[in-house]
Amino acid sequence: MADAKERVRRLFEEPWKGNWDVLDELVAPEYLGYDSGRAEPLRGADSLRAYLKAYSDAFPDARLTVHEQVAEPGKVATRWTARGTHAGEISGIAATGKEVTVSGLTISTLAGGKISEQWTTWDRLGMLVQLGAVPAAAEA
Amino acid sequence: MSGFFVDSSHMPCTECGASLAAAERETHACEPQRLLEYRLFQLRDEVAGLEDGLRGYLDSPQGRFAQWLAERERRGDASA
Repeated sequence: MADAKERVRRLFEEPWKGNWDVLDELVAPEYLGYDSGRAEPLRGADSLRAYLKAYSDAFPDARLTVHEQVAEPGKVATRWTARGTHAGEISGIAATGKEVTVSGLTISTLAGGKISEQWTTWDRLGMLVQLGAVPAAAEA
Repeated sequence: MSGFFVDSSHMPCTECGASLAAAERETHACEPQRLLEYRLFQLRDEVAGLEDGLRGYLDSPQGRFAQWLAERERRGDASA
């Protein structure tokens, strides 16, 4: 299960260091990526790449850190944090120059050494608050 | 939206934009380089506007004359 954890960790961390090939290496052709903020799942490595690129373009210095992982055969649960500076448009929000930190949880399913499915929930609302798109409690 | 306010574990520093956890907000001191970069980022439209204005001036008759005069002074050529 250590290998499965490592594969998932690499998929999480390496694209943000510029290694986009890791998606082709580790994502199964039948990949489905469910996200609580998306109506439709991501399908395949190219879809996941486009999704991550949108955030990478908006937060060019972003880094994703895996804090802990729990595994059972065929599944890995990961708690992660992403941090980056908002230097490009995202979700209709023009660049603010603000640095944001968001956390999330993902359950990954592996088959044949590749990641075939992921269910993710992350603090999208927190990102919007930090970017000033939603008023924060302190501003009430 | 009335009454809809949320809190976040991290918030950007209002001065330098650095992401701060709740526990860091009281003790945070802005890094000078980050502070400068953040303020310049906030002024980027004005900076871009200044550059457009400067280009327009340099293309105007007055601007072209000013460039000619500056070049003349740079060469130390008062007789041209």
